[in-house]
Amino acid sequence: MAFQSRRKFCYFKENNITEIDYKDVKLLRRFITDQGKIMPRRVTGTSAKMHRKLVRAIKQARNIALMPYSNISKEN
Amino acid sequence: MKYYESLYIINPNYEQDRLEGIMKTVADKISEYGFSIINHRVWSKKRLAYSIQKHKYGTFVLLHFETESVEKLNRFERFMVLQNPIIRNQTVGLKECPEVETEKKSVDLDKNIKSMTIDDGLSKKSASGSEDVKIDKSKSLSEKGDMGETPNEQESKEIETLEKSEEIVEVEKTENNQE
Repeated sequence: MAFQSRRKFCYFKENNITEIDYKDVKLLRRFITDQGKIMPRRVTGTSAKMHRKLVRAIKQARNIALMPYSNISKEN
Repeated sequence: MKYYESLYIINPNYEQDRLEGIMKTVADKISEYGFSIINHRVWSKKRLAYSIQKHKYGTFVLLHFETESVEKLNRFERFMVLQNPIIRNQTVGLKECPEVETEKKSVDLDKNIKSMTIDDGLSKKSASGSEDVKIDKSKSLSEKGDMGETPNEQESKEIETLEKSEEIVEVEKTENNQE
């Protein structure tokens, strides 16, 4: 095999993080694209349980204007 | 008892006195409803990810409290929405009791903004992104946290860091010329 797929791992499990704070924007920024979209679980490798918590935290951060809903308008 | 965390954004144009006035009205309302306040402090002045009511910046205030009454909580949220100086608010339930902050952290917003602008200047000057400048930045950040220093000392240190960064840029320029 010429190409070997890189092993995916759950970032939160590796770092023993059980609760995600919506104010921790630096952490949440890892899991969104440049456009501001939430990256899928198949890309990030996050476990299902933590992905649900992550999505909730990102949406809370968006509501209080800590994170963008969309970055497309800035680029244009 | 259930614990809640409320984060609200106040109009950034408000000065310290008016800001404290708004915080006092919120605290009074909370005590009127019978909630017990755990923490109530200014988090920081931040740039908003998107403009709200044509404001690009906002002063974030963090409030921790505990209550049992859900009905009163709804009324409190309604009260927060109706306040004109508060441009956005969000209340979130907490699983555990938040830590009580005994020390008063630096809330002087004008000083924070001043240091922010100096940091921006540093990042612009060092386009090559040398590591030394990063260390200087972290130093200036740690200085912000210290309350013991007088503002004059802080300013002099910031000027020193600026001078250092200029020297680094000059050295880089000379190296490029030699090449």
